[in-house]
Amino acid sequence: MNKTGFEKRNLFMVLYIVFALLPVYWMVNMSFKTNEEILASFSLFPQHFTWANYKTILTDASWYSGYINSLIYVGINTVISITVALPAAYAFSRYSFLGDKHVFFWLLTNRMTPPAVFLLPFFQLYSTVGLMDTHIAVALAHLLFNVPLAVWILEGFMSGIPREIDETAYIDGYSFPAFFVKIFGSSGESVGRF
Amino acid sequence: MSTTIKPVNQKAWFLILPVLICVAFSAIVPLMTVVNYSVQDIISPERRVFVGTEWFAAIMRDEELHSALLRQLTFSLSVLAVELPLGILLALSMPAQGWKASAVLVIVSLSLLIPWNVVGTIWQIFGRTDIGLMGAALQGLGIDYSYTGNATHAWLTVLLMDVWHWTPLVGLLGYAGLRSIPDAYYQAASIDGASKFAVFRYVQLPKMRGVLMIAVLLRFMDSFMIYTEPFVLTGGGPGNSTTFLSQFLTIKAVGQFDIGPAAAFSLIYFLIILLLCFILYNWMQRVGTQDKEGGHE
Repeated sequence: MNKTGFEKRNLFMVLYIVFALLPVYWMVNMSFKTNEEILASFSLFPQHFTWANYKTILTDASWYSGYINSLIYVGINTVISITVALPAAYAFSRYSFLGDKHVFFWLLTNRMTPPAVFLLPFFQLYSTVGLMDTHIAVALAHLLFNVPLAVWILEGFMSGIPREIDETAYIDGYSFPAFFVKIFGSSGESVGRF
Repeated sequence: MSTTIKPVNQKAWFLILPVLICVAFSAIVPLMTVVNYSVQDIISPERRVFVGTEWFAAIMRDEELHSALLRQLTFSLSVLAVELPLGILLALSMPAQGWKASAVLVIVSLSLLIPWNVVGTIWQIFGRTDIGLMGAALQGLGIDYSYTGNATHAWLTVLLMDVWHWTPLVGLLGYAGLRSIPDAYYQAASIDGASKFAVFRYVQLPKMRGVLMIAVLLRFMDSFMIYTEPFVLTGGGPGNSTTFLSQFLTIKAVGQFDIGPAAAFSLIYFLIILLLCFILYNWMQRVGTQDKEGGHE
């Protein structure tokens, strides 16, 4: 590769980084301005630097309750996804059984469904079972997209662990659940990442 | 799934039972409800009439749906046409190692971490001519830019927003593909006196094919279902120039409560996505094998 090629690439990279960062920069810039300053003048840097906006979102309940809601439902969602997806991923990665490939791909087609398709039935289903306006309803609705993805990622991850390790554990006298926690639990951090 | 021989054990079904129950509750039951609605005219909760395929026939002849579908296809194809070359270029330009590589990786993947509605908000403000940088800059250049008043500008802004948000995905996937090419390939190419384009065409592109295929599928599927970003940015307007399929469906289902037609349309929408993905996937696999044959000649 010659030198001019390198320079052209660097130029493109710099341009792209500017393109990628400008909108974000503008948000950060505005977050340090007061409302009056945003509406009254146009400047690339905050003229009257202020932390007031951050103070508002962290102390005003109408703002921070949104974050708490998100955390609650993400928590529920992660717990349910991982508890149901772990055994399934193990089954897909270790055994072959009737219709395994079909079930695996059918799970993936759920990821392809437009969320808007499920809008109406979710609304009705959750009203019927009395889950409307609860954190669980939101978490359950999101399971549709997260569980197939979790199974898919975990399956790839487990297939990377040699089966000999399973067998060693059986010889050592581990029961199935104990072995499960021991082997896959120890590498659990990489699971939690997604 | 890997192809190594695995012991046959039908008891494994018990292990995937929890997933099946979960997905049944969140996918099969709702989908069947949609099927149920699509063949009935629901006048009130007590009175419902079976109408057969009437809604399907009605929705297939719906002019609004045709234009929404056309808009959606144009948008999805534009997204692919811009993001794929740009993503490949990005992957080729990213530094291979050193602190620069890590810094660039972090900056490039930044936009992927931003939630969709926040992306919409960022661009809504960024594009405003009074307080937004891009709007003000375009105004300064003498362009009468307005994403709320001009249909073309609105459409281009939504496209630009999607390019900004998702090109890094294509770039990062391509980058991962490039990193897996052994140095020996480049050495062999330089001994053969291959030009830079030839190296790209016969070494880098074939090696990136697998990941790029995933990128195309993901980008096509997701842009076909786009809802949040145009909704936050333009609300589907001006007129209905940025009303894509998801939003069209939402307006029908919860705005006008046309449950029957909305359900029929939902099913058609789902089938369109499945069909297009299937065609795309098969077509790309065939193109890939032809590439390989050409490379060996």
